[in-house]
Amino acid sequence: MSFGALVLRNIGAAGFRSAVILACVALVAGFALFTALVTEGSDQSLSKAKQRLGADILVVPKGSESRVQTALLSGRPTTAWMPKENLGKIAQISGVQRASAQLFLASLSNASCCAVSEMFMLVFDPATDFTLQPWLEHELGGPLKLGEVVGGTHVFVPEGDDFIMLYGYFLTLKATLEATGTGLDQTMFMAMDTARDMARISLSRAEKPLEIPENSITAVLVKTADGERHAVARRIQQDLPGVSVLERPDLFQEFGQRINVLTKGFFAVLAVSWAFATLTVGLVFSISANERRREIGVMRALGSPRHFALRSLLAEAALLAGLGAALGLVLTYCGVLLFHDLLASALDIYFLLPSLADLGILLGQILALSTASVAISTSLPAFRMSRTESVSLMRT
Amino acid sequence: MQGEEHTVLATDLPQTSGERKQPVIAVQGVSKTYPLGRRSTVEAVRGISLSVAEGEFVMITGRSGSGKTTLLNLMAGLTHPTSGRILVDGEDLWGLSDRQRSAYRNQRVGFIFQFPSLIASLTAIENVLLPTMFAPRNRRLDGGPARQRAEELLGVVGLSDKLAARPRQLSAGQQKRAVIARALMNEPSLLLADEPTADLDEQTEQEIVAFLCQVQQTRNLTIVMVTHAGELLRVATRAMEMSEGTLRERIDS
Repeated sequence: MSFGALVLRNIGAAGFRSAVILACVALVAGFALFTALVTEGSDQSLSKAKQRLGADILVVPKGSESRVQTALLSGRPTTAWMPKENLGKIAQISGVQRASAQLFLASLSNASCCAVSEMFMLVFDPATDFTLQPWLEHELGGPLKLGEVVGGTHVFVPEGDDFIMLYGYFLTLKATLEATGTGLDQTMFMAMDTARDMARISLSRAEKPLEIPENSITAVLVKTADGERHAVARRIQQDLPGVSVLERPDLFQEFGQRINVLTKGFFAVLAVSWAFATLTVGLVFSISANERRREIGVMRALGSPRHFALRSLLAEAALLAGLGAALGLVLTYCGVLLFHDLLASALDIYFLLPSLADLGILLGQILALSTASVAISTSLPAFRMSRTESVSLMRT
Repeated sequence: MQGEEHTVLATDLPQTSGERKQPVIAVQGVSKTYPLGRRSTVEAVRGISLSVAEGEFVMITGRSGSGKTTLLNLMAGLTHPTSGRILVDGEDLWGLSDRQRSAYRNQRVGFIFQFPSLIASLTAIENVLLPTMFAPRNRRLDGGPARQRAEELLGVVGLSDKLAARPRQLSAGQQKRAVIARALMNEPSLLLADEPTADLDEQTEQEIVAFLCQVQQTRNLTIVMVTHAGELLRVATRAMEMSEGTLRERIDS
């Protein structure tokens, strides 16, 4: 009979104890994974969204900053307008290297192209754009032509069609951008001439025409000289009183704060549940070890060395912890994978799922931590048992 | 072993004589005191000396609480003596490391407990195989040969049809027989039996004692057996009595 077989037999013989430990570890490991996925994933989403925006400063009409950020993060369309002349004024400000205007538009309800009912359309000016244009040059070998668009991962051409039809206008999806885990994934990017052409066509073909106010823009993206960002932001604010200036680190601040609160809450619950589970497992093992005093004493009489009891109990604990953690991790990941959008909407937070390599590291860390915690909580009763004289063990 | 009995203190007797063979185990002036509550203690064994030679069948009788089980536990190295020494091959058992003492229990001693001692989660044959698991690697009987020996032993004790039975599926007598098979698994030179026939019916008691006698004779096994049953003394080569922690030899007239 091998040591492993004996350990498995002991686990099987104490069915209830094993089930309690498995459940405890599975719950805590699962919650740890969920916490890590949400907190790390939302941080990653935030940083990708900022990266995608690609500007040091975002200038929007005063009072619209919250709506604009929500639109960029959630993909829920919004409109806000300011005079187009602001772009020229901003471009003249000292320290500004590049400045480019954008329009925020919305599709009509229930567009067949997308995973959402109303799609957010972000319109850029190819002549001045410095965020999307370099990517387009690199990936597509040139700018978007009239009627061509680029979409987030959730934007697709309806099955059986070659085009996306919005406002009675046929759009060609030229490329799909990498996922960010935010509303930018359900955003369509198009050039200014395409937007204006779509607005023109919509007058005759759409139920409701696309309206783009003359000489108006929604936002100005600004790139500044190195180390000048804050000073430039101050100057824009001074020169243009009707706008709000959002610096890159402060972008999506509300979302960032929500992540912070959630992170703190999750980690507090995780710490308490981890401690509770560790104590519970320690207690269950202590009771179980006490029930097996005579058995351990008999084994000692049959020639098992002192450390055998310690080794045996620790192996049982580690195996149960490993199995429980693996179970919790697999179930949690499947759950998060299946209900990702539902969870994001319920928590009002956007989070990217990690790459396979990152996921592997995360799972390994939680698995190791769970196993170590259970082994530590078991080591005290196991150690005590191993130090007790055989006769005392058998005298139960 | 029948007839009038005289008792002398075992400590008064010469422990090795010209006729006696090399002692398998020698107990020298051993005492064992247990704490009783916080302040008081109880002396379960008081300065006992005993030498057991190879092939002897030593039977120890005595009333409950006289220290018989404690003496067996001391001889098995399961509890540390408060004073005195237990010598195995001339070496102090408590001068050995835990690993060496464990190897002694595993390789040299077979133990039959008074209480049900089969591991509940294991089958009869797995219980019999258990001592092989603790054997040093170079002396371990692995796989097929170990199983074959375990099957043989269970067959010898009449349990060849109960190999896969769990302890709860065995009667008290069958359990005791399985324990005997387990005690013999590693071919020990010394068998320590603590009330092996307690709680058994007369017929099973006779069978077990007859089996132990057979094993002792065929394998030249040394047996130290503790019992309440005075009528079993007839099978012993040497009879002793314990009373209040002291040991006296019973000498037939």
